[in-house]
Amino acid sequence: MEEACEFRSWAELIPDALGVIFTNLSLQERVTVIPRVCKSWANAVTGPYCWQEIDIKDWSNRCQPDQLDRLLEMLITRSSGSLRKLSVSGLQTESIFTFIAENACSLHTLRLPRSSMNDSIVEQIAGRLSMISFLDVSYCIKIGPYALEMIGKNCKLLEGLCRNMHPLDTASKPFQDDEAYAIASTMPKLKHLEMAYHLISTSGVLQILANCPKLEFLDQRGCWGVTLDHMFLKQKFPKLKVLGPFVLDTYESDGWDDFSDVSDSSEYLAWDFVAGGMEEYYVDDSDSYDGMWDDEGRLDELQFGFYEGIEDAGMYWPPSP
Amino acid sequence: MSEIDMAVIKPEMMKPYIWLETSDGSIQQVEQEIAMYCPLICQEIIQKGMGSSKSCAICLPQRVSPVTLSLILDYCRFHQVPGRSNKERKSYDEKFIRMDTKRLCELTSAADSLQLKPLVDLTSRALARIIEGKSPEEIREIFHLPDDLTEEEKLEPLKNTTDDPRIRLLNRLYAKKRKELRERERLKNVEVEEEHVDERSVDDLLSFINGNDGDPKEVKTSKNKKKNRRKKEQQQKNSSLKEASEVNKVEVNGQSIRHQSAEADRIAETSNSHTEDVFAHREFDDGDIDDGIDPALKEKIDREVEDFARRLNSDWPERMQELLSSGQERKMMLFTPNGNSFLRRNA
Repeated sequence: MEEACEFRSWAELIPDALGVIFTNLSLQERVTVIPRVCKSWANAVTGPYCWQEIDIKDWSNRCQPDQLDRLLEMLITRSSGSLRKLSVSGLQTESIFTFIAENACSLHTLRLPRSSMNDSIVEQIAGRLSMISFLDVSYCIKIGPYALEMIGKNCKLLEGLCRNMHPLDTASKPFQDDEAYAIASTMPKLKHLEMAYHLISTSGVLQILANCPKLEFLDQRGCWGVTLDHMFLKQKFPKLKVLGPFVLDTYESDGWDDFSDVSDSSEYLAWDFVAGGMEEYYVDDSDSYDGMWDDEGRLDELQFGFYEGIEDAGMYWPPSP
Repeated sequence: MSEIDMAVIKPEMMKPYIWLETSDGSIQQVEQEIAMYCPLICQEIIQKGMGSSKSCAICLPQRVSPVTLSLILDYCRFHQVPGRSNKERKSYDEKFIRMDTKRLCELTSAADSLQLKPLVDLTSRALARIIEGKSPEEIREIFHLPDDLTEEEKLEPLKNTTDDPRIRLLNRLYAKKRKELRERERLKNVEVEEEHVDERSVDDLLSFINGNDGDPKEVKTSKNKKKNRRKKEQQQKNSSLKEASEVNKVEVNGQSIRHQSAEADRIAETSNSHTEDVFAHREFDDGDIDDGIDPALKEKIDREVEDFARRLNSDWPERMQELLSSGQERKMMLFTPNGNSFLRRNA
């Protein structure tokens, strides 16, 4: 009794900090494990603090569009208007774009690669994305220069833009600078620009460089229409770091905030590997089973399978003879 | 007005120390440049002019205890020094967070209340590492949290993620359904256990364990229940598993021990033949899956399962590892000729 009171007492010491802890966990853990621990954790994980940053890009690559929309609506609703970062791939239905825009009053980082939104949808929602400072519309093949122009005119704080294209989508198509002109004319505060495998040409890049004085990073790998002398770039734009057009084997980090996140993830994965290795020494049957349930390391699953095999063998032994 | 401001600021700037009061009422002096590293304390000093003397010490939030404050000041003392390399800072951070879970929680909470974001990020990541990959029961034990959720509340999150139809996630779906079944079984067992505790003594329980062998199928249904047992029984099970992995004869004994244990768990229930149990289990699974998935989706899943089974038979050697890793796949395998030979070899 006294012990229980003591434990409960210090567990309540961290109600505000729970959200910070949970944001470091994977989506699946936050959705399937944390809500089943206890009431206070279930309440914390469904509160807005935990969902100010939603990153379901990996998960969204593996599920049906309607399920993706349902999950996304649930998570955005939990953020209760405090959503700051959203990263999701492959959105298709028009209503989900509207839903995102309606909850974008605090949104500053938006990644929507491989979306099916078109110029018309962008025109409708751009007015409500005014707080966006980083936007990723890579591989969105249905939008064009008009959409970028609408984005530039409404997102006055935009500092980062990803407009990478897939080489299969741009192969054997003529060079076009319409999107470059839209970027140059409406996004003067741009610092970070990615346009890998884009159809942009030299004149388009020059236009961007001339109108975006704060540009620090330009990724034009695979932009075969661009021929700019590196000495020229160094003299004219000393602060600018340029990748490409030729594609190198190693990818260089440019120190941008989002890339530092990637670095953190790498370190985290390294730790996860160590933890996974330690699990090999577990002999507990129940733990092995839980490991299998969570679809974790193969060795863990192997252990479980072995023990279950024994049971199955015993169960099915009589029918054999 | 400006003269008053200067007068107030001037004494502070001349003093290298400020006064901080923790929630238990104790007051201590701290180097000002170190304390200023905390945004909250910095605000109190600059905006309100607090901390310059003992009588107007800065009152820290409730969550900051003297011990925790000492840790936080150590952290600030290291990081506010200019010129340290990132490598040095990371090395210090790794050593700094090596403490027990409870203290780590207190530190996170205190740092959060002081708005010391770098330390909050550090400690919250450390706690997330502790939580990562563990089951709700394990997390409850580590953090000494109450088990105050109903069985229905525990099952709710699973429903949100059990409708993904892709083949590589299908086994996860089946595993979750089986787990759901076990949860319900455990609910029944809990009720039975309560009655049993009132009625029987430990000696009676032991006599039942030594009495007769149980149905091997029943071992599965009591698996979740075993987690709630004492460490002593846990060690017993571990030794049983080790014996089972050594030689066939001991292996048989291991199974017997587990069967007897299962039998004891089901003392108050009417015993059924294992054939009926298997049938009931399968029926339940099918019904549950039907409820959860659209007809079109289910048809698609069935087609994928069929393709999977066909591919399974054609690439037998390569698939053996995958079979061992999944109970559901094993069940499919059991009804094939190769499966029988595998079982015979295994037994």
